Amino acid sequence: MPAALQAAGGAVTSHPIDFALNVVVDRKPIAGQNPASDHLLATALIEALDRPLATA
Amino acid sequence: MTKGTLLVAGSNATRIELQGGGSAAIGQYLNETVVPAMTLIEAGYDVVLATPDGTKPHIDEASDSTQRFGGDEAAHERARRFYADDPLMNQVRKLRSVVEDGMDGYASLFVPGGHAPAVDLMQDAELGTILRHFHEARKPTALLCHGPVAIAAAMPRAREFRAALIAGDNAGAAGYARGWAYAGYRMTVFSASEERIPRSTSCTASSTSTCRRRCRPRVAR
Repeated sequence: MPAALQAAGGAVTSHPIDFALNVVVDRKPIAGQNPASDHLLATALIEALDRPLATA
Repeated sequence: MTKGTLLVAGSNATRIELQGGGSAAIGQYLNETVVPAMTLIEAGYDVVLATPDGTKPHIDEASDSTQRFGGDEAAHERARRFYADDPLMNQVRKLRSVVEDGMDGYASLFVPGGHAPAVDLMQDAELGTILRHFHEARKPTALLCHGPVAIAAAMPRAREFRAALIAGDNAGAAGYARGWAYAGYRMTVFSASEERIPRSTSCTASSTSTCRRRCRPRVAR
């Protein structure tokens, strides 16, 4: 799958250790690498959503 | 009053093409679908599930495991019950109707993984419209595991992009990707070394090690 997004022009990085938690945030897209990153991704999404509420 | 609504774009795919020929039974991952959904609900957000054909995503059996919930049997059981019984997981909308009704009411978009989104969502025109709306409106767009590959649907020629990848034509794929809204963005996705399709009856590989090499999704070349 990294090759697919690289072919598209995405700047794809992977954690060197398989199934290590990894979430990459660049502006609005928030990407999680693997099933183990489910909670970390949810936390990153809530942070992104709550930020504008906190500064509104 | 909720803080906002999360649109979860689910998949209807149940099989994926393999590099060694044939296809393998796949689906959407239970933990990847349910953990973010339940976490957002606990944080005060509402959730709407939508798929290409408006039916509920098929859960990959490999993900219906306590191991996927950190060995926590109670968490696994809560997730199974939520996915099976919660009205939010059973009032499934069509992506097309989400587009037709307008997307201003959604605060964010989420695409869970499992291999399934690499089959249908990554070339779905409706998801493409939805992704471009969230991108232009600068709303958080979360994608997990194989889910990030669905961001390719934002390309005007996503279907041709995927067909070129399947054919092993990366240069052709790059051509179809021209003008992609997410070019240059930093992102991650399920890695090549993490990729494992469980040996399936449709795989003709003679051993597990051969299967690991040949039973990879063709789109993952």
